[in-house]
Amino acid sequence: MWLAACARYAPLLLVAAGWELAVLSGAISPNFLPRFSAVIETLWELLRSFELPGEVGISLLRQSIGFGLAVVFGVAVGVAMARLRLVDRALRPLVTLCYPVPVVALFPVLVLMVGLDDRLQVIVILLGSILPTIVSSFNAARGVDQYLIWSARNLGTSSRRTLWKIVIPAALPEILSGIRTSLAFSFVLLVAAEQLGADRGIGAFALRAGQNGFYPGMFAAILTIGLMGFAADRIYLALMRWMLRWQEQE
Amino acid sequence: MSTRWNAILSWRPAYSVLILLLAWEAASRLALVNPYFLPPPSILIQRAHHVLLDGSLLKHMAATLWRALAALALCVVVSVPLGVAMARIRVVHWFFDPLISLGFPVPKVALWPIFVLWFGFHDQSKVLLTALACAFPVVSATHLGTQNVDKFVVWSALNLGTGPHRLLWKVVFRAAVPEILTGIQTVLPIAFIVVVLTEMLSGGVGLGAMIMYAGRFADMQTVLIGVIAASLLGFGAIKLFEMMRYRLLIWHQETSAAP
Repeated sequence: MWLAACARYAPLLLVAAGWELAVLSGAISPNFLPRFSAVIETLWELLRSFELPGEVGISLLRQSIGFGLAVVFGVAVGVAMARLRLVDRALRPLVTLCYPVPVVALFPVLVLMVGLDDRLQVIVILLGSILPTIVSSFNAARGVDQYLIWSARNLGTSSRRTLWKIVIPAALPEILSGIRTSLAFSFVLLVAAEQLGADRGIGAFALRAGQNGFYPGMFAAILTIGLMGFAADRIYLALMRWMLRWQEQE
Repeated sequence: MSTRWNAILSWRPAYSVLILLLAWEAASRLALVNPYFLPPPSILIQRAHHVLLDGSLLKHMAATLWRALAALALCVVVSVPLGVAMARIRVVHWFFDPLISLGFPVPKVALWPIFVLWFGFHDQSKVLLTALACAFPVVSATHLGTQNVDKFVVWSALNLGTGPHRLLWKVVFRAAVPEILTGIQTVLPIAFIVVVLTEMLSGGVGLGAMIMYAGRFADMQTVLIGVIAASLLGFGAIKLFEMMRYRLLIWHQETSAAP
């Protein structure tokens, strides 16, 4: 099993070794690309001095609040739009109109409305990831097999029970995979919002390190952001499998 | 998937958009929302007319559009052959599979400082970062699409004496085209978002730069016009691509199934 894992992830080691050798041999200037070992060393230093964990903590706090709110409200609105004609009529044009708007472009407006503090990043993440969540939950809830709903209603299930016992469980796999896309998107928005205007947070740290010519630090921070996105995705995937454990496995 | 997106992005609710615009106008005129942050549409239209006439809006839109299209073209030219190769050649699959699966959930915009260091502040870094951000979904869609081509179609072609090159080009690739197009459709909005973001970060020409510049002078009307122009570009690209998909897949069963 270990051997299989090594064979699978060997290309990553190859890339790291190629990176190290290319810089060591002088083919690429270290001012252009710091050595891989130097990046890892800097990463370790920044971790030990608690500089990086602090920035990561701030970023994760912003991300989890913005994304958490987007999931709660996005799923609620999406399912409500699919089930209630009035809500659909009222919100569909708004969603259609706002869906193609690149939320990061609203940054200057939001800066003046909210001010330059943590709420700004939270609002950018919330606005940017709520629309894909609404659209995917709407599609999921609308795509529920009508016969399931009719059977339940015919057997005397109240409409509230139908929602909780039929519609939501049946739509859950698609809702959850929609949320997975929004999760990846929320990290893009986090980094974007921190690069555009923040003095703390891992995205701001990476940009500042680059501007100050502290390239090993910049690469270490970017590596950390990549690991954050990857870890969040894998944790979510495990959570998703656990929530769908009742599903028949193929 | 794409047909469903179709439903929510269709033109049908045009009349309700009109009601929405009227409500916006009224809310802004009656100061229910702060008219400074959300000026009424009638004033935005006047300003849009102004920036259209002096040519500045079109110049910025053209820059953004050209960068997004260049990035998409670059992404397709690299990602589609890579995806096909991953499905057909074992070594390529071995090398790229862990890189793709690790890199997929990584927010690519985080690489912006590196791209500035390597490629400077101009078109090159913006186009390359956008192409990279778009590459992962296209590679994996192409890979899966090519891998899942109906075995019976391949067997029939082989049985009728099709050579390996003809098989790849005439059968496998064409059967995978719908999935490849779906992959490109999912990255269309991403391309416009990343281009606008990199323009906001670096300045110069482009809608993102125009938005950031206007924001510094607290000129909310121009900011909103820039946002609307960026949305229209993205929306137009999505609509055009849907029409192109219909033309390209006129032979496919999905086209005749659609109303």
